[in-house]
Amino acid sequence: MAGHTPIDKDLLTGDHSYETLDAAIGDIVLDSTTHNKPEVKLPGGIKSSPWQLMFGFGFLFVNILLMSLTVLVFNGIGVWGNNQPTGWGFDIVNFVWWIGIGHAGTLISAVLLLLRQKWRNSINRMAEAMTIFAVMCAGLYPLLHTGRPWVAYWLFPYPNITGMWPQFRSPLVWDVFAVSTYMTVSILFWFVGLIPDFATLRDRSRKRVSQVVYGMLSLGWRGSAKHWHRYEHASIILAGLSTPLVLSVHTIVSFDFAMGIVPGWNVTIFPPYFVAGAVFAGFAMVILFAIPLRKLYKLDTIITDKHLDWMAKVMLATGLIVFYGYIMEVFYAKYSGVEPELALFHNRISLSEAPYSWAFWMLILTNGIIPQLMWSPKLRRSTWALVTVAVSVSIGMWFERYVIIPISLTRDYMPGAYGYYTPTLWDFGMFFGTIGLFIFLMFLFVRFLPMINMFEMKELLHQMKHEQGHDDHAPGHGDAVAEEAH
Amino acid sequence: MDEVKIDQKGLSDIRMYKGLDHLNESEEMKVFLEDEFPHRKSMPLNMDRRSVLKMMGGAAALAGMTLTGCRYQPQRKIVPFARQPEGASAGAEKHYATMFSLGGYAMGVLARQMDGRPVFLEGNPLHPASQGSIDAKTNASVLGVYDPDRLKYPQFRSDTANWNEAYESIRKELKDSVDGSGVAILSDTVGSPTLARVAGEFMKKYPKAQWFQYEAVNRDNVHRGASLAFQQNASFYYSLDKADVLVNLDCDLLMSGPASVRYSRDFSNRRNPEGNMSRVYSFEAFPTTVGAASDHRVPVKPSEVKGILLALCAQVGVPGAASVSLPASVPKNVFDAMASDLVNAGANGLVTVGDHHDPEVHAAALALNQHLGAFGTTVTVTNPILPMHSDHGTDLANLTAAMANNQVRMLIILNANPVYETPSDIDFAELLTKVPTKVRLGLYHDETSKECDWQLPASHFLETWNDGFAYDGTYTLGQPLLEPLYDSRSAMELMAAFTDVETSGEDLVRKTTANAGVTAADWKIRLSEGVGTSAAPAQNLAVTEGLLSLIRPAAGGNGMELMILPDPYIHDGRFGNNNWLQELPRPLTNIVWDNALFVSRATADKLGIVPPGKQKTFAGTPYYGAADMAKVTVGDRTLEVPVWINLGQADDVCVLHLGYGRDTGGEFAKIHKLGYIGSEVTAGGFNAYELRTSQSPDIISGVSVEKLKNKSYAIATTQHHNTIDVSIVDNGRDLIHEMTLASLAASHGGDHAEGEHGGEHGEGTHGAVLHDTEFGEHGNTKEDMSFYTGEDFKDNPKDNYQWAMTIDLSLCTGCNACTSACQAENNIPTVQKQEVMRGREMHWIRVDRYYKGTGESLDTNNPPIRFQPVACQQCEQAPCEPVCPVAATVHSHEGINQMVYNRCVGTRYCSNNCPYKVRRFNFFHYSQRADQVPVIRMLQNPDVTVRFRGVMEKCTFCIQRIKHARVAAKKDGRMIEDGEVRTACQNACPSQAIIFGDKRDPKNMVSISRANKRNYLLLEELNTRPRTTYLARVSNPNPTLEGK
Repeated sequence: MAGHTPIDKDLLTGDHSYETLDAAIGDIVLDSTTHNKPEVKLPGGIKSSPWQLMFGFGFLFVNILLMSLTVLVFNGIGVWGNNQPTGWGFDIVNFVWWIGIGHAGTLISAVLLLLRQKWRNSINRMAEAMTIFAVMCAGLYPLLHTGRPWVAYWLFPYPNITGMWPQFRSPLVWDVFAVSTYMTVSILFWFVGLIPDFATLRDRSRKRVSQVVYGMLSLGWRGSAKHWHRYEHASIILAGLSTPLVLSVHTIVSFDFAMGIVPGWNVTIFPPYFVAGAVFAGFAMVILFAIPLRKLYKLDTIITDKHLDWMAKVMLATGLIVFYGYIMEVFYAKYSGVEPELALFHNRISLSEAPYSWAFWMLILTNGIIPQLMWSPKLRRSTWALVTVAVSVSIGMWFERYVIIPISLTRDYMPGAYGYYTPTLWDFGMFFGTIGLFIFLMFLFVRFLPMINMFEMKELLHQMKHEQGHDDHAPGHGDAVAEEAH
Repeated sequence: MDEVKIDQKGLSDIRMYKGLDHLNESEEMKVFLEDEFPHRKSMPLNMDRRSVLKMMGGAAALAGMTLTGCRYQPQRKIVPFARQPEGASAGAEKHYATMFSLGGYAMGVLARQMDGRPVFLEGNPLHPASQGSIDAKTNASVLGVYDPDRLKYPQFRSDTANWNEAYESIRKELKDSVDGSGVAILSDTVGSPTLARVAGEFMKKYPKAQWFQYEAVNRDNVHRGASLAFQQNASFYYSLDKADVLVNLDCDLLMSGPASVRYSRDFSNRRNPEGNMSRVYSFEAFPTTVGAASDHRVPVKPSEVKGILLALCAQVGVPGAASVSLPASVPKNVFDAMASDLVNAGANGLVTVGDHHDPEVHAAALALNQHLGAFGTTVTVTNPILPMHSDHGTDLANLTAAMANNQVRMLIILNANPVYETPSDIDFAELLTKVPTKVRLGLYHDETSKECDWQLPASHFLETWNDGFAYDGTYTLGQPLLEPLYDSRSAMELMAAFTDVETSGEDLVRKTTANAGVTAADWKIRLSEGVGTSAAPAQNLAVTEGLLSLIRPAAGGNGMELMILPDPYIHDGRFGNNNWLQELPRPLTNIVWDNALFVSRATADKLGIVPPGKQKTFAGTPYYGAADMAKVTVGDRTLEVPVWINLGQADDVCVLHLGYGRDTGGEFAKIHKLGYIGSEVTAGGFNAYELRTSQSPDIISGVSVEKLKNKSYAIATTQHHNTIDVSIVDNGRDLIHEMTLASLAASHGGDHAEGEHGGEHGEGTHGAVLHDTEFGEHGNTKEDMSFYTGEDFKDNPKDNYQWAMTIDLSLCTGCNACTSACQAENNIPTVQKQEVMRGREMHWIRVDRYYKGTGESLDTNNPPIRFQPVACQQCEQAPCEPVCPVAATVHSHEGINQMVYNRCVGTRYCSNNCPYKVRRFNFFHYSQRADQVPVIRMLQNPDVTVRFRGVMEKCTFCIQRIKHARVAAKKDGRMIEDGEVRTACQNACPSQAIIFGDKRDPKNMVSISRANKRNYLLLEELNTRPRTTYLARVSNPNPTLEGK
């Protein structure tokens, strides 16, 4: 720990004590009035709180999702725009998009924990929740994109009388393992991290119901040194498990394409390019949620401009990797001189002849050009600029998958079998439905769980105080005194 | 169980008992008897009500959890034969020879009957019109038997009636007329000598009755031309196998007419580069399959055809031919080359003319053929083939005149559909109101039957006895394959019943044959073979001298010309309710479910019409949109139709197909709307009859076409996007290898590859030797290019059959008979127009159509047209196999890429990863009709699974046929012989372009074909090692015209 750098004072601003931190974060959950202040005027004189509005919005779209699913299961994949030759359309585009969004959470909670980045503390809980919800949304697609979802369980290796196993050579089977492992570890990591905070909520709560519920969820946490010791071990182990998953999940997702024979799919740079893209998209989504939440719940002393600045930097860096990927794809096609590859890029780029070039140029604009605004430190601290760029990146990352998946499929090897892909109402229904589900779950999370890791913030406060008091304080000691924070 | 209850006291002495328990009525026995499930002792069923409820709840929850509740795959009970009928054996197939007739001419077919119902039609190898092959129309006609929209029982003014009532009432009227005055009969072309005989008897009994024949698609022009040339009625047909040089003047030789299947066979026999290859010149207004196969093709206007023919007559020196100037659109050098080729060919030259051209053109062509000496070689003249010769145009005029003058008191319409099919200057429905009694025998409740009093159901040809003559006069017999499904009669049965007493069709046909001297013993043989006699004897007729001087010079075309042709598949509309044919891509245009006004690209530009591919644009990008509509005006009649650009069509010519725009005639025949929310489309096309006149039914000049603003109509095609739009980047793809005969001969150099070549793993190596001369840059052989030795195909042991297929692109004419046969054989559902528009058609074998040319050689006015049938290539290293997560597509030891429907979960990954894009996915429950309409269920081939929604499917090399052959071979203790397994596509192919078999034995047909130097692999560079290979397309252009 020789290279220990002092903690950036901007990571926690304002005059915080342990008590105010608990109150600032914990009371959002415990005090229901925080969510119900009728601050927004709706047409017709009705007043509503932002939370109610967002939750209602999410709930509405959850219903649209349920309707879309019902229509889908009863009628078949035909209600979507998928066709021959475009076997995969919105279904897999959205799957990859959601999985990508899920990536920031694990990266922030696991990789940054191992790297001892203190700035992760105030955003990791939220990011992890987003991971889980995004993977939930993502998981709907591989299940329901099958023609016969009632037998989709055949993708799992389970003992059965037919003696049939899944076909382990198929990247889709790898996907099943990768995504289900990722989901399991993410939930575990999230839950383990929540245990000390559940205990705090239990202790602060004045209502019987929440005392009981949080009490049960805290699994008897008393904050003893033994508890903290075990907790630290568990979280380091889980972080160690999660870290390779950050790389593996999207690598394997990218194998769905990279292992294929379709021009535009079988590219060796896909794994790193997809992982970078996932982190890119994930950070954009964290920014997109963190900015309104910190304003709404007055958390700007905890999620500070410094945090936003860091996140913007990560976004910029991963964005550049992704942009490099786009350039390399074009280069490979040109350099290979292979007819179908050249045709593919003609099909993406040519404004006058390619039916989808608008999507490609949209991608370049939203993912390649707009994120360059983040070079400016001033814009990195402007919430409006950040929201704009984050929205742009979210759209851009969706278009990236759209360009790769259906567009490559519409024109591959046989000009006689070329086709066109047009999504239908139900494609959009399911897409917006999952966005609604995500918002719905996020606002449930905000309502019932502490959206910022309380004990880690207190630990941070402790360390900052420590550093203030003892400039020669031995590094690394800070972790062990975390119990003080409780 | 109640009746077994025992009352010891009142027992009679005949009581039987089953044992001591029974006799003594022990308590245990009582329980056993009264218990519904006596053996449940093994089940822990000592449960109270609450436990039962708990179990039920748990089970329901489990059912919900595992999503089994969502499974609504149809489940139904099967019922076995309690006693098997004699001679029937479940699952065994039988073939019966029968006949199909269209336009009065017969074609012998073999109907495959399974479990007592015909499920598939194949060509009759013994019949001259078929020689074992079949065309799409004939093949798909089996669907007509099971059409749920058929008329099912006699009706009187749309009220239920029965045959007795019908017979009684009609007989009474006939009797009242005494001599038949005021009685008219309108039939379609009478081709059956039995019907002709019955008609003769009827006319004898009612001498004043009049018999008329009318069919919209008739051969009046040909017959009038022949009688003009020979001064007597005569028929003639061609022998294309003898034609060294064929000059085709606007004639759809291989797709329409009574001999199209035979002509295709003969034509392809002479298009084989290894044989004595013929040279073909085509001058045509509308691109046809024969035009696409030609060595030289020139688009000309219909009005120019006569001029070309007369100029040719003059050039060749037919006596009496005045020298005429050549129409401007014909290049002089092509014309000269053609004339000299024709003169050199002499008796082996042939000039053919399309049926829609006027009689004088046909007469002149006969004179030219005679001058060449072709009579006796390529042209055979016979007495009229049809038993009741008539001129349809005259018949219709006479009938309508009689009707208009109230001279017809009773009209009996046999199968013809005049209300729909008569030219627009005749309002047949209006005329029918002047006829007091109208009787209609027909398959459907259609336009005509709606206007009639008696609607009598006709039997389908597979339900009736029939006879007829083939194009060459071969007497052909047809036997029913099943009892009529409904209460129906055939035309001959009906007329016989009106004449005398009801007689069965069998007796009627037998009587005809007996009259002709066929003995009872002979009858059986002839019936089983389907062929009654040999061809009609050739007549030594000569064209009248000085004929050409009688022929008026060609009239110059007058502005835009309109050609009205029968639809390639639904013909005059009679097959409109046949969804297989509706969804079969029309050759060259690939349009399905509709007709459209075809124009050339230049004409479209002139009219201001944009190709559908370019209509809706986003930053100038093409989008698959709707076609522009135009108003076609002929005299005082107009029709609004969508316009479709057809490359290779002559300028200032528009073409419209018959058979569409109906408002009745069945679910698919009529204009119908379909679709789901937000995407509704209309299918069913536009009625071309509205533009026809009695004077000029087929070719109309002085037509005006005007683009309609803001009006469009969505047209569905199976091949989306005009290939032109992406030509810039697709031009280097080596999909269709081609060369000229001369360059092929030059490359042969003596080492003709024969038999085994390259050994066990040589798939990729042989065949790749010869590369297209025009893309000759990659001269590398496979050995230079590949990292793979080819030995990694582990499952290639010598002790298994190794199935392979070759498709000869020199022979393929693009007629789609293979697609149709595959659809019938493999229970492939149709998906209807709007699903085709979404790109979800299900055909397992598609015929890709390409236009050739780029940069300098790009010529959209007359592009070279290429066809390539593509089915599953059965790759040895199939990209679809490793990506399936559940191993639903696996490789067999015989080299077939198999699809396990039961296992498929429907991820569609296999289809994405298929470079040939030959896999088809059941996006919806497309087989729903087969599942829910009992009569359609009867049509399904019991050897092939009917696929449920959510399942992928594709070509299986007709694995069910392989299995049948395997069973037969095993029973005999032998191997399957070469040619024993013929796939449906192979068997149908009229030009014999497809060869299938076991490739292990170098003597097998398929091995010989694979060893051909022209053999190549499609997308070889992907190393998929397909089992289906292609033979390069060879053309035989005139050396003096090389480069044109």
